[in-house]
Amino acid sequence: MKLMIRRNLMGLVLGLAILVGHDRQVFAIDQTDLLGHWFASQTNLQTWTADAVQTRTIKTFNQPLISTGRVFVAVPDRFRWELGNPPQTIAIRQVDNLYLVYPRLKRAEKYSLDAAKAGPWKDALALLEASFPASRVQLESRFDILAVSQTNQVAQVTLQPKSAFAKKFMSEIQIGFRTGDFSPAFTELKFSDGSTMRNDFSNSRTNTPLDATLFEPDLPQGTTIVEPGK
Amino acid sequence: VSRIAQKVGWLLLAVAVVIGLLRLRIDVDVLNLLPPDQAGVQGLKLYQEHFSNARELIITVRGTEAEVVEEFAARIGRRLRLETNLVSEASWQAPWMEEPGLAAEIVAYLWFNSAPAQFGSLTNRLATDALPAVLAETREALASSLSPMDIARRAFDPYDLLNVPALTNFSGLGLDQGESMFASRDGAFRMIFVRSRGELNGYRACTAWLESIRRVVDEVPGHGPGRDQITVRYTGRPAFVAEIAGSMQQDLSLSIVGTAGIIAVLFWMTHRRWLPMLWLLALLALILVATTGIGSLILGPINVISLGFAAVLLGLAVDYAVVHYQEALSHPELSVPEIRRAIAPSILWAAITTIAAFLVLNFAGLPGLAQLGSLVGIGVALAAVVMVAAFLPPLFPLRRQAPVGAERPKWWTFFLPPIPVDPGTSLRKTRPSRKALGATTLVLSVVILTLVWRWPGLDRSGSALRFQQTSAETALNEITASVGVPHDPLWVVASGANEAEVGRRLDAAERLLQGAVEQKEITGYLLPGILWPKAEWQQANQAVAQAMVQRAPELRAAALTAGFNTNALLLTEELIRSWDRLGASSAPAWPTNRMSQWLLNRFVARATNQWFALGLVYSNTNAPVSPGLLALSEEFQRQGVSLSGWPLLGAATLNSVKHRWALVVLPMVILVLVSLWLAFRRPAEVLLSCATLLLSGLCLLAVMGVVGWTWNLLNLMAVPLILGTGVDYGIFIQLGLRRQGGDVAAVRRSIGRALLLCGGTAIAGFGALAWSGNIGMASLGRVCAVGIALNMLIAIFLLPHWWTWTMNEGGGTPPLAAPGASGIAQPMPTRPGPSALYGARLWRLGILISGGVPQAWIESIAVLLARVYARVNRGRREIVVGNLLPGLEGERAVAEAMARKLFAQFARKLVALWKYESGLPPKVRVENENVLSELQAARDRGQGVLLVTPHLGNWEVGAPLLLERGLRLLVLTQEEPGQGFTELRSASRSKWGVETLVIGSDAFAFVEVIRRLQEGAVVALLVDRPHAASAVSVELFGRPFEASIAPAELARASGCAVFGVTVVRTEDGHLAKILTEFTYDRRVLGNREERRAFTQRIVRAFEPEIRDHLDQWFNFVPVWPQPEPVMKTSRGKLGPEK
Repeated sequence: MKLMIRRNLMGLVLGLAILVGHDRQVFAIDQTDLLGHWFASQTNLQTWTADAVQTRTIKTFNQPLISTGRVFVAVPDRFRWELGNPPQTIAIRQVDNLYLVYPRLKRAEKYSLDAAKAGPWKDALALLEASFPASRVQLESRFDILAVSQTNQVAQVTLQPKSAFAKKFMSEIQIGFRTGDFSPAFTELKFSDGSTMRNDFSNSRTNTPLDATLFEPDLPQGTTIVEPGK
Repeated sequence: VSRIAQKVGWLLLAVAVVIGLLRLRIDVDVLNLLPPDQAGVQGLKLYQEHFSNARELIITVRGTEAEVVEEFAARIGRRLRLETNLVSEASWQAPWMEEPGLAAEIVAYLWFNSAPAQFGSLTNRLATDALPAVLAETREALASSLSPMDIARRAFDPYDLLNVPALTNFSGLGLDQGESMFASRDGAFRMIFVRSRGELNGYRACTAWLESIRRVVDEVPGHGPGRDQITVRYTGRPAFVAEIAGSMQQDLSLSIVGTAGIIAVLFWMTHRRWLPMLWLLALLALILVATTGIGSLILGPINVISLGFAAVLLGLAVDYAVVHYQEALSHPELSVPEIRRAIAPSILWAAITTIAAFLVLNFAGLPGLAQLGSLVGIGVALAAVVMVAAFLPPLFPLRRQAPVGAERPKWWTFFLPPIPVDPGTSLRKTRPSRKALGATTLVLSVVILTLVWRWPGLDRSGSALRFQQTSAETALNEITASVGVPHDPLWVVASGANEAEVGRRLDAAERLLQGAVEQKEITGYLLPGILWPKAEWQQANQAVAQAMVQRAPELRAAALTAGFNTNALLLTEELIRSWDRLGASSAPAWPTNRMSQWLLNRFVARATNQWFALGLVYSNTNAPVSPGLLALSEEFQRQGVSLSGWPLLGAATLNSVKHRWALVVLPMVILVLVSLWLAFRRPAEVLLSCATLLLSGLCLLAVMGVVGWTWNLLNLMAVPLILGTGVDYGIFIQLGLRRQGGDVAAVRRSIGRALLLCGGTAIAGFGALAWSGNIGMASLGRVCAVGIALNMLIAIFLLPHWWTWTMNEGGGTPPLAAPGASGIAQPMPTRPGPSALYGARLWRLGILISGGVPQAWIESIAVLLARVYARVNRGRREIVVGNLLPGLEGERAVAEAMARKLFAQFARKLVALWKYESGLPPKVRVENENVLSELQAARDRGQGVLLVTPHLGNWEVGAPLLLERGLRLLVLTQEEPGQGFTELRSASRSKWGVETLVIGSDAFAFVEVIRRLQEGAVVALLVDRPHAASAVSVELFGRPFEASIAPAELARASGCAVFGVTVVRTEDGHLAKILTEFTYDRRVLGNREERRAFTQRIVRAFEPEIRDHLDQWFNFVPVWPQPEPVMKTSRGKLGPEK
């Protein structure tokens, strides 16, 4: 069960983080230069938004579980993810905290990221940081790049965590981005028990101004905030 | 005490020691040092007995990479599980992490143990028609939840059964907390819990088992310095016991060997003799062993901390031996029993005072400290007895026996200090030293400024009861820091005869703790109330449990229909099976599987007919224990629940010690004041001693402030100990100043040096405790050592100047110490005067008889009487023997034989002298006529002649010989004892033309002598046994000897010729020998040291003559300098004084 907790935690953050690894620039490039251009494309990234379809396959449930939502990212360290329409779950990442808000249940969970840097969130946040690599070297300090391939207009990078600890939970990560504008097309996390979590993105927009209140938890009146682990 | 009684006494003592040693048990439980009736102590004992798993070792693994640490911890755990002979259990992760299914039972139990309304609500929530909605909600959560924990839990819990209401406020049971019991958040630190296969009784078993575990762990691959930078440590009771016992063993060895070494070095530096030093060390070892044995017999188990008594005892006991030895060396004329008789009062009273000082610790309210005090008390008593009885005899075999006929002293006389000698000196009016007054001002200023800047605080925690940082403590602190467990939680232990009683008490505790949280006395608490079985609820819940069991197929079918597979139902099915079992059990029911037991063992314990429940209370971090918390503890006690913990215990114990402190210090202050008054009988000196104590106390506070020491519940007891030991120094110095007439330098040379020696051993003894593994005991040793050192230094270097200043201001000579004063006692017998037989009446009778009775007859009678006298008057005989010993290389047997001859010779001399004084001419011949001619020549030149002689032979009868050569003699003599005796002797001499001039301390008498010498007179003078006013110290037979400086003074003043003369008895009369003239340079003799050297030359010239005729060296009073006065102290510190 603990394994599952970690698995999902990392999946969530990684999925969000990888989304921002794109740029609108269009290059005619070959596969060997794909990553180089991907890294270079991020230097001008400030914000990014997209619609998402999340598909979860869970080992104890027979059918895939599909939900829709939206994602808002402000580089380098803020994001908001809404799942469900109307949102059933909202994840808000601030500089120091991560909120998981359940409007319908009037419940919110608050995770301190300062503490998380030394706790179970460490690996997940490491993935987040790795998704904004300044260079190939930085990315490869934490991941092995297993494969880079291209299908139609979507490039697919397959990564494996270098940390044996993280590898215990997550066997493989796939990142897909469009070769035209380097915007994220999908992310897929494969967990050790065979479960997967795939996010497919559409309607993505880059560097549009985002209201700062998006990254504040808009808690309905009467919401109870809990801090798990404290 | 008869010899038989003595032997029986020693035998009984030996038997007691052996029995005690056989029963000896070392107690390593620090709690046994504390008051057993204190609630906190009882609570801690309950905790240690029932919850601090005596067999559980915690291995900590620290690394840099979490996965490496986890893998290595798992490897250690798996490897240890293979050691089935050593280990019964090894856990490196929570049981439910290894087998998640095991968690179901405890969850089922929590539901079953809930309030019936809560458990009953489950049946409503899972009613048949509600199941689709419940499952849909789960599916929605799985699809949209962003909470990792939620997703993880709901994937295996479609009916949300893990959401137990009771767990809401019980984070300790949260499933995600399981990992935190074994690892830090970053995973770089992990713990492995290892349980021994067998019981670990005693520290030896703990040490051996821990060593075995270490060997196994060391063999686990992947571990080693520099290899992934992994550090392995060990903690838990077995590690603590092994380390504490091991370190205490090492501390004790170090402190005992160190103190003994210092003693040996100091002794060697003082005496430079091997045999006495080795014998001293052997006796000290014997005293330690005997004290341990007797202590074990009387006190029962000896706490390992109390064993620190050994070093203190060594430092104190050695003084008794040193004093004895010094006295034996100073008084070769005395037998061992006589020395013992002389010293015993000082030592006994000193021992009694010291024992009293240490026994006062029994009022401190701390059994450990009381035990240490009692052990030192027993040890000091043994040391006094052993040193008095056994130290000297093997070192002085020829002096073992008391003089024959000597009266055996009554036992009680050993408690009577002899009357001190009045040296008759007057106060030397010295100006107060400006440097000393400046130093005093400086010290005082620095101390005050220091104390204004930093005053030593009071440690209110219980840390003084703990041990120095050990590896086990380091590991425990690492656990606290890494796993986030609050440091030093308080423990709540509720006990009762059955589950219901404990449950009620837990409820009461819950209410009290809730109130304390609201009052902000504590920050939080954790009570196992939800785990504790509630029989009535369980009975009420049985029906619900059975209903859930019956609905199991329905729940399964609904879940499968909703899309869940069978894996998702594993937990649900296990829960239902547990309810089935619990529902069928008779209440109260407990969970039974491995995981449940693992969990319950941390909160629940059971002994015969008794149940215990443990809770944790978190007080405000770093805040001192508040009165409110202490009050809470008392309220808990009233409710039958213990609230304890080191912080609370420290505060409660400190309060108890503070209350009793006055009880300890007050008797000591009274003892000190009484000692001072008995010693001085003068308020000024009493106040000066108090000032010394006060200043040293202030200095101690300043030192403590500067180095950052604090007072704690153990070192508070240093105050009575320092008072008890420090008061002596002021007494020594001030009484020394009295005797030395205020001569500061002389006092410092003599007493000051002795104090440094004796103080050094005491400081070493207490200082050795500084290495004690126990923090409080180490601080006690440090404070005592520094306090005593400061006291000693102030007494030696400042007090004499204060005294001089006070006496000068007050004017006049201070009174002498009162007889029997406790501060000083002259241990030696008072110097005997001439025999009572030496008087005018008997002298006349002798002259009368000898004039008419044949010489042979009267000589025989006289010799017979002399022998009888010597036999009967043992004291006089011993004086003679003592006088002869230096001339006979200390051979007592030879000296005794020589003494017998001497008494006979003296009888013959008396007969000859009586005959001479009755007018019968003596038979005298000259051995060296040529030198006699020189004497005559000097006389012929008109130069005065000074004849000097010792009390050798029969010098009086030489006068007629000189008269024959035309030399009229003027004899200088002291006043004879008794009325008319001087006149009688003068008249007798005058019959032979010999003139007598009686001199004493009258300086004008010497003016007359000088005048006569300048006129050419022949003057005879005894050079030994001088009057105090004309005494000068020279050497005879290699020992200090007092001779008269008068010949040198007269030579310088008159320019006379100085000759030595001896007249000894031979078989056929008397033989006179004139020694070669002692020439000198008159101008040089203007220097006193030169006059002393001239006197030395004279005495050296007589030395062979005296050695050749020792049987005629007639001295019946001690001729060797008296022993230096010896001070008695409350600790038996004794020192010589010149």
